[in-house]
Amino acid sequence: MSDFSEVMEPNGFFLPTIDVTIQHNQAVSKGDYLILSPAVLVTTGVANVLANAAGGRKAGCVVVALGDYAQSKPGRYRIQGLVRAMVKSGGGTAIVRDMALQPGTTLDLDTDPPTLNQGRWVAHAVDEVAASTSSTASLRLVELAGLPGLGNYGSGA
Amino acid sequence: MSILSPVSQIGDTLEPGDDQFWLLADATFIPGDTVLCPVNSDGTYTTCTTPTAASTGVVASAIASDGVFGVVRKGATSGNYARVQIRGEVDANMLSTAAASITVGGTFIPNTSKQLEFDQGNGVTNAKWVALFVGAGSTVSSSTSTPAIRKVWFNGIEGFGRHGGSTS
Repeated sequence: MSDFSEVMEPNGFFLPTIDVTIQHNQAVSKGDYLILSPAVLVTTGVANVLANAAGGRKAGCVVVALGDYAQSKPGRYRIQGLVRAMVKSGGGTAIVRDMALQPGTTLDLDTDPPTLNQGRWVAHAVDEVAASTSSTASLRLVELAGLPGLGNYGSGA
Repeated sequence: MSILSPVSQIGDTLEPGDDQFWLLADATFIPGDTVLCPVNSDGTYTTCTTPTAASTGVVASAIASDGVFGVVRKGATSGNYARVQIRGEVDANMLSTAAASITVGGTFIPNTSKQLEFDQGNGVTNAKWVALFVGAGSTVSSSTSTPAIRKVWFNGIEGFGRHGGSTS
């Protein structure tokens, strides 16, 4: 992993891009997030991959597909950096810049806090979406930090 | 992506990373201030501003915003460039509102007064921890409700986790 030290001197910085090529045994659509577990790319049952399990909790590395890829064909996935991902607000709230996003249950990144207190934030919204259309997932720019994440949601439990 | 890089020749010494940038200030900031670095529409970070209540990560109306934070190392007035450290060991202005003893390794959230706040009581579910107390390697137990510059390990991007919501 590269450091967060790429600069655009004399002012400012950006999140370095980290991509990986993976072949998956299922078809994948551009902007979908997937879970990269050791030695396996998961596109189905992601909620279970992230969910709390008795005696342990799972997280995994969140990656976003950079294109549409057929079953069992190599694809390019982003682990970190600026990327267009499928984004929505399940509650129909306006999405504004810097809003935290977490992996939803339908391969999109959601603004809504996870219902389980171990849910992990993985991105910040860059594009803004009006409340009138935010409940339907669409391709939007986000800053992704799929491996380190941005901390887990505390539910107060 | 690590806040630490090994420098050990003997033992297990670690040295924090040191990511510093010049950011355009929208107000007067002085060394030790904790600032918010809003993302631009092109995904870059070029400015710094005073943290808002929402930017601390507290959930409101079923959403949470936070963003990236930094600590000012070289101050600036509005319209000029401040030197801001995003990660690593840095001297930051901090306090414990409740005058609690600040222990080494203790976690801090940013507040809207550009300080690192040690107390994380009820009502701050999901608040983002951005610093760990280093100080001089020992607990500070007196006058902690008075803001003071002390040394921390800072990570304004991923943070060090989040507050779970019950009393600290």
